[in-house]
Amino acid sequence: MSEAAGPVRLRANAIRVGYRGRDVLHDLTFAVPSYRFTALLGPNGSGKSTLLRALAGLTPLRAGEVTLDGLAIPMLSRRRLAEMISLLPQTPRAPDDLAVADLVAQGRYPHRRLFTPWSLQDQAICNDSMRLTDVDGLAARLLGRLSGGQRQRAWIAMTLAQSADILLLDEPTTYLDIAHQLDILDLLRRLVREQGKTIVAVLHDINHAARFADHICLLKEGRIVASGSPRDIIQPSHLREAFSIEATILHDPYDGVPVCVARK
Amino acid sequence: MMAVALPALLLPLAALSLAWGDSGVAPGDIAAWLSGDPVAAVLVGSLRAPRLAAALLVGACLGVAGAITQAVMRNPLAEPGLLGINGGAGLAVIVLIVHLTAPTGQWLPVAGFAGAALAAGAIYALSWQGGTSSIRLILIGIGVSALTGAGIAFITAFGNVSEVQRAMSWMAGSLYGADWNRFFLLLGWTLPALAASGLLARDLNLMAFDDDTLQGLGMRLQLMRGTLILLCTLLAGAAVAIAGPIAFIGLIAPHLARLSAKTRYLIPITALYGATLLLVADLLARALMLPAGILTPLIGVPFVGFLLRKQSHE
Repeated sequence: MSEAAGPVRLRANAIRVGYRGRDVLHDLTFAVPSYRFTALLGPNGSGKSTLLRALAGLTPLRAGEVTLDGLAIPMLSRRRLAEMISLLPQTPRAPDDLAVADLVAQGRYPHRRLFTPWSLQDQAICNDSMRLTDVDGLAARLLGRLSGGQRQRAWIAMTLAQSADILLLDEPTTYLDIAHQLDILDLLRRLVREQGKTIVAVLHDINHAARFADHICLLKEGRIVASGSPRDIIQPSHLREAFSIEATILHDPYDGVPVCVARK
Repeated sequence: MMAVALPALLLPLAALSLAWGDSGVAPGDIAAWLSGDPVAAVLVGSLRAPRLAAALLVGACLGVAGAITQAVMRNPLAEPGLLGINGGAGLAVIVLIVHLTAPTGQWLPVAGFAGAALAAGAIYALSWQGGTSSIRLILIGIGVSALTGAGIAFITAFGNVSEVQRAMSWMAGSLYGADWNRFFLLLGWTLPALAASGLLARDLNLMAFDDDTLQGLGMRLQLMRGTLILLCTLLAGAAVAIAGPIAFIGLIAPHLARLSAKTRYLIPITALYGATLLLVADLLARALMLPAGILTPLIGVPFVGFLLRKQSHE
């Protein structure tokens, strides 16, 4: 990625988040790079999901603030926020007897008022979202009848239909087999390159992050250990600090992407 | 299929309800009423018509309240009783009848509504922990219902027998004695709530999604949940105030509506099914000389079995 990133829109300033007296994030500061695919990496309980939810304005902060275009999130209405940020939770839930097209249509929720009828523009946006995620052939299929990969793509289509510039995804590849994982990650990368989206995703696989993300943010115990390009972050020292693993970093002879081989 | 045909039965059933009196079914009564016959005006216009109207409205309210409860609690087996409506109303009415010995007839609906609203309010308040959740509402709902049940049982055990008898007959749930005054009071009360429920149909369908997704879509979740619970309390509370606790309509009507129609018109269709179901129960009740509230479980229990069977097949 050589072209300059745009101005930062979404930013966490020294945020502290805790549940029941225990702090999960300690005065964490993070600027989400615009028009980039950022991966949040870290061991279990390092605060990745909490950071993502805080960026979405879903978690009350004990200190600090999350700002969008310079405005603190609580200053924005939920609806206004939803027009600019869309969120895909880790295990989203919807009725199994809902058709894919109906799920995607719910993405238009923040753009419709009580008496606004469904418009041609709404339909066009939903159709585009389904085409981008390759679920347009499944529009009439019920959610309960989809494979894991199809279902995840349907949910991503819904978040796209929200027409927000910033997409936050919590472990979008979990529970999928390797081919579907690559499929989803490739889709996310294309959304950044071709649609100009800003994406932050919690990922578990270091090598997937190295291959697909433009930016990696490495967390441990509620603090950022390192943040930067995959080449800078996928280093034995950083991985030792974050995951307590000894790793050898190789480079894929095919395209030079760093590959982490954990020894112990 | 029966689920589709039921609303089409509404007109003949309504006609049957108007024509049916002590001397059997006499379709001529309706014609006489319409042509201004004074005896028919009393029989049909003042006795049977308000009962029919009350059955339809109470059924519609119970159906819609059931659809709201099932959405808010994210549970297909939820019904307004789980919000403490029946328990609260029952307890308030039995306290009124057994412990406050002043003339109580006019005050029964008021006490019923107040008890229902208090119980629902208590469940909502107790489940609040910086916000409510479906599962907390269900658990506290079960707790409060058990508590009101215990209160009713206590008063039943130690109260004056004839007064307890009166309270029990109210608690059986019946449309006997409905009149136009009460009906119009109920209509003025519930029509705005029914209309608001219809307008919120889109949000109601969305409630089946998880909390994070809903908020990510821009829904003010706690405000919406509170509004829906308030609407449900208004509707089911008014229904219980007029007819006493009537179980199962709120459980079945939304399922029938979902079986027969797509989600867009869920609220009006649920109302239609609720109205039809209670009308059928009331007709059966008149045929068997029983309160309608005793007959709805006879329809409801087999239906729950059907639901379980359907779920285990899927």
